[in-house]
Amino acid sequence: MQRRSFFKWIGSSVLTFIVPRWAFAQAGAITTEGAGTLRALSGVALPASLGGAGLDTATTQFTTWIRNYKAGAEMSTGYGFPRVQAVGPDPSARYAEQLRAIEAAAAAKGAPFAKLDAAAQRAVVEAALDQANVDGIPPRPDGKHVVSDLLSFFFYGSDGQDFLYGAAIRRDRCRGLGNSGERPAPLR
Amino acid sequence: MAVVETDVCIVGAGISSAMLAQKLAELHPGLSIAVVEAGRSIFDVENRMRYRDRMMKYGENPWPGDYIEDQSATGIVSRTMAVGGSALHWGGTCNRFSKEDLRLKSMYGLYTDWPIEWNELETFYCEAERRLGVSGEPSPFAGDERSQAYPMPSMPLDYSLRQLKTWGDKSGIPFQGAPQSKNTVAGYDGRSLCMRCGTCDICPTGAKYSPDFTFKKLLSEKKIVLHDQTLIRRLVLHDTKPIVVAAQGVHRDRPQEPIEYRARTFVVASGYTWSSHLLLLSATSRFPNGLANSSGLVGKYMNGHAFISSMVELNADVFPDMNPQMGLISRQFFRCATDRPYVRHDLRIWEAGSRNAVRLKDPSGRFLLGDEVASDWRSRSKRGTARVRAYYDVHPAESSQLTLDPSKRNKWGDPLPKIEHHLDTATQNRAAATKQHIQEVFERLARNDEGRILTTSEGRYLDHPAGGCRMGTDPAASVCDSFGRTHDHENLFVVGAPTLPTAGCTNGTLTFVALTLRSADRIAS
Repeated sequence: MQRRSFFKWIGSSVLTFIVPRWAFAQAGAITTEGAGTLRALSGVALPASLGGAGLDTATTQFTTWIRNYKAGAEMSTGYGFPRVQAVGPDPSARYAEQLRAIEAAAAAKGAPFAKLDAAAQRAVVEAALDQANVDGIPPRPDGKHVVSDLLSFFFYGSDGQDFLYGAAIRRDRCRGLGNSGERPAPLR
Repeated sequence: MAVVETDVCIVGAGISSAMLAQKLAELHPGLSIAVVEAGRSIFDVENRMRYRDRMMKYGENPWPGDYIEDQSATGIVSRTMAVGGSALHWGGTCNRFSKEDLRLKSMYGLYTDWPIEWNELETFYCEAERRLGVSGEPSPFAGDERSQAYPMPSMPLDYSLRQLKTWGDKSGIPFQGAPQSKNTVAGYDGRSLCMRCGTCDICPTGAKYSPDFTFKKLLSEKKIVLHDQTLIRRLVLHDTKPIVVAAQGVHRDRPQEPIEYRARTFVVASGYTWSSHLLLLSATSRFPNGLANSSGLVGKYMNGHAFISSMVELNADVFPDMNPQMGLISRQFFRCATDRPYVRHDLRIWEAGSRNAVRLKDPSGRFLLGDEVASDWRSRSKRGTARVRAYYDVHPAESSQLTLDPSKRNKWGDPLPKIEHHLDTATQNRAAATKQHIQEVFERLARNDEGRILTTSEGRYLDHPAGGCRMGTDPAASVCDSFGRTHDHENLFVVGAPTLPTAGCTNGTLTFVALTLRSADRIAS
């Protein structure tokens, strides 16, 4: 068996047995170009008051979250939930296509999305959300649209919660008991 | 068939099993103890921070592989089947029951009394608190007097809980921090100080008591043998005597190699579902209804407590998730005057986040983007939020039961359990008054700080389930005595949750453990 044929055979046969029933999300869902568009979308969808660094961080965390997503992974089995449940399908499956559509819509307005003025960017985003029939921010990214998923990821995450409350609650951290009686510090 | 011979064979490896094995090993050094568990050992403490991270980010099971695919049941069950049992997931709350729980019949003419005196149980509560490492503060009610102090000072109230305690106390109902089996003193029992990670479902620092710690220690000291992934399918009786001589099982990865455990004493410590199930599965021609079941009550009187919850909006500076598993409790309603309509419940308060979701569109349909999302949410979420809940005492009917369901079988062909909860007539008759009372208590709380009840919901299942092998003095009306020894088989014990006649009106784990520790004394003797 030639080497190439071997890997083809491996890919088609063995992996179906050794890969767990969950699988990591395809990082390729967002291309290099798409990543640039996503960052520009963050500037429209997420609070500008996060500042450039804050928007960079939020965008990077979102893409990392997508990359490490395991569709089909088992969920918690606490009592009251007799059926074993699995993490839902990869929400990023259509992100690349949606990001390209954003760029296509921007191109129709005469510039890459990142170069459009704020009003034009907003119009593109709203049109995309309308087209995808998105009316709300889901509690977890659900794949309907990359923009609503980005909003969901941020606002339902630890940083977003802190942003909404204006306080450093830091629920994702282990914070110790020492200062727990104090009011959470205001966000700087 | 492989044979393992020991002095004691414990079936199941949850929290009751861990406490029993630990105490037996202390009382009887040299006693050979086999612990047999159908699920696997998840001893990888070093991975728990990563599991926590993935639970928070993706909702994944923080105890991967803690269940057996085809070992399920119909009804409300915990799917967790692993070394540590449901207490792998527990929040660590360690409330005691009260004297009234043990004297329902003699005080109120309801259901049944427990075959144990409060003062005796209280000493085992103290022991349970010591072994589990409980942090707590004394109750302000005289009826809750303790013979020993808590092993560790109470978990400090975080900022939000301090605001909520002030709010709760204004109603004239005194609240305190709920006792927790979490270290507020570094090094207690070798565990770390609580780091307030907020994910007690999996404690990444090991500050919360977890049965796997006890099993690891017993194993390292060679005090027990632990056979995980081994499903006990039958208990086998002596040919002529009413004693159990063996537990027969199969390793899940080596189904062609059945294994038999022989012991002088057998203890079923398999929780409220699988204990009754095993006894029913072990029917013989001499005991056609299952072992320990001459009363016909194995699997009967399955219990738990009902609950009602509300979300309350109030003028208090409350932040969510500061220490989300920690809450406040009032024991004011644990007692009920005997000349008043019967209602007993605990009362709990937790910090909560705003019920308002972030919106993508305003009411006119205009999109909200960027800072607009946050400012819209803040404009609707200026007040604090509390979650309040009452677990209330309900009593099971005999038909509240676990039965074998021949239409559903595991891969070994054994019928799986079916659980149905039903309440007795007296409980049903007072249900409306009970709910009205609790609603009035919630409203009494809400009257302070311009509180407003946002939502109220009734639990659709009985929480902290127990029962199925209830204890009692009359062999015709119970499965085992107060030590868990079955009336029918002198060397067969049942410990923990299944033995409870009722589930009280607050979390049950501390009581399961206290009763098990009392059983350990008898088993050791």
